[in-house]
Amino acid sequence: MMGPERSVGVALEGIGKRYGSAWAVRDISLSVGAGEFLSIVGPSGCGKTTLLRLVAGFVRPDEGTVRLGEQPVNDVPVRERRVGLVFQNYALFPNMTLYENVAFGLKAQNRSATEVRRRTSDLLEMVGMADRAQSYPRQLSGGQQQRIALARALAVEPRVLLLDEPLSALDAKVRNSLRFEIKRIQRDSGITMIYVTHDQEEALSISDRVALMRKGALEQVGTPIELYSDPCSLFAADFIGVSNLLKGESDGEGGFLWKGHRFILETPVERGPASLMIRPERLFLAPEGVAGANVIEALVQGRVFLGPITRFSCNVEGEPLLLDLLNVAGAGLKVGERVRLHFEPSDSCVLQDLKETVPEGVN
Amino acid sequence: MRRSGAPRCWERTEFNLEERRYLWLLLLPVALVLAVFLLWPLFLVLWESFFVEGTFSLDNYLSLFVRKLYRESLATSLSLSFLTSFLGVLIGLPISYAVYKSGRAKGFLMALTAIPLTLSGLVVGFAFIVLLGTSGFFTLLLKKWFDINPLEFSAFLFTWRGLVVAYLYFLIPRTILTMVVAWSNADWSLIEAAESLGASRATIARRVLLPMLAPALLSGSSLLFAVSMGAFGTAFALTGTAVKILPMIIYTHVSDMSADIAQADALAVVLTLVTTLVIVGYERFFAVKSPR
Repeated sequence: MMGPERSVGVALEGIGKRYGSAWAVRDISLSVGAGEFLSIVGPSGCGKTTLLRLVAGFVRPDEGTVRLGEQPVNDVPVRERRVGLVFQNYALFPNMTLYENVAFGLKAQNRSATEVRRRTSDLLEMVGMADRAQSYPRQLSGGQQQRIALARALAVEPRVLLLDEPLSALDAKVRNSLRFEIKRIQRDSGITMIYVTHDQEEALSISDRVALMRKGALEQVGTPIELYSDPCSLFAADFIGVSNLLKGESDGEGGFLWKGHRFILETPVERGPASLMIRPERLFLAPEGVAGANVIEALVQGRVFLGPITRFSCNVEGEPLLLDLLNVAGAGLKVGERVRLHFEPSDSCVLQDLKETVPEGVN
Repeated sequence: MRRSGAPRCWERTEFNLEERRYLWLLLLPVALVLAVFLLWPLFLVLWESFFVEGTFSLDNYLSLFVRKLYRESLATSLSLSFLTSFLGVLIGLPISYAVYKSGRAKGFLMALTAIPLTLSGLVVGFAFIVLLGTSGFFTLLLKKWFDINPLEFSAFLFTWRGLVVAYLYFLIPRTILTMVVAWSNADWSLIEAAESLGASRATIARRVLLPMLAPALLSGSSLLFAVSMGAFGTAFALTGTAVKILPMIIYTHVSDMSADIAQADALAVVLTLVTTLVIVGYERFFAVKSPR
């Protein structure tokens, strides 16, 4: 399906971009394999969109090199990079029909009339909008407009497709279905995709790898599972998913001290202040009468029904702990009930506060 | 009507039927002003144009076909207005982009741009005489540096060419003010999308940028045309009655010893009608072309 030049990888080598005296992004080194689906996530203002625009060519780096495949592209203008773009606001041409929108790039590149016709119909078919070819963008829902935007970007066989918060303007239902459609298109066409979003759940569900950004720098890059179960910092643990972060101290001998408890760790860590992370679904109710390590007495204080699970807020000496329980028959706790919570050493993760105390490398 | 907290000014306020019946009262002041100062005079002009020495007659309109002067002045007005509004948009458009892109200086430049609009046309005319007239500042400077002949140089100012230049002085700022707003509202991601698809600058300008700016260009040039058609003071100061534009003919009918107010009324009606028709026709023509 792809043209003569298949999709290529993207490499960022020591990229920095400054606006005035403030660095928008700095010291970014990241490589994306050909055909890989990489998401960039982070809070707003972390530089993820700047990074995308650096790859697209709208922003020129002050430091470092951007490569598409082997080719350094710092000096290559946008129109010659052969990089596709999908925007949050769809950015369809309002004065053209859907057909003309999809055909726009092919015509601009002087492809033959037969090729324009064939590819435009193919792409409209692929996104399921063939029957609306003669409509105008304003007659479409947001989700449909974004399908057309995808078709338009893919029509010219870009080497990489960049998506900037493509689903953020859509409602939850459409967002969910379109998310997996994007994934399907990516798998079928084998195109390299870089996908910017502030929605970590979205990123985890469709990406091969996720790059977490913070204040212009890369915090952690890894597979969704790595980021979720093995965050490298408090920030990563906090941003990705929901977590309990117990601020305590490591005793250097395989134990973690917190509010008079001594939890057993899977592997000992250096002595000093640290936080212990436990995901709410990795806490269990300890069987009756069993005492032992990693058991916490708590008082159920509140509950939130979330469909498949219920999230309980349990009080341990003034500190809340979140506990997720599947909504299966017979499960469930009452507010005011006393419970004993338990976790496996392998389900917890010690995060040293190092990153938090070092002055930010950015700004 | 459930509402938490006081309604904010940007919320669409809803009125129930009982309240709605009195809503028109809010329009009363502006309606009165319009009636007294716009509709009534217009009506008077229209009414009086149909009378010749106290009896009803269409002579004032028929004279349009009889007297060559009227037809020619209408043609002069139309061609002057078409030319100046076209040039006004053409020159103003790139300047408006520069102002839009000027960053911190933008507010200052916008204020500067608005100044010519506060001047009376007569003042603009005299200003040009002071600067470019036979003994004008720039004329003398050019004489000193390049030894030009002041008489030859400034002669253009007192012909229709001079009118074009002087009209542009107050038309270009109008283009700038309208188009800066259009640039600010422009959706730049469309341009970026086109760029990423490999489109050339020319293609982007023609297929994306121009359609995007079209509504503003349309209303902007209509405004320029209307202003040009009605302008009087500048022409009066520069060319007197030498260049026969329609407002000038109306003026001579009102001010001459042999004042013919009714004829002036008829010409004013024609001026208003033609201007309106041209603008409506023009906007219709282009509105059909851009599907909105």
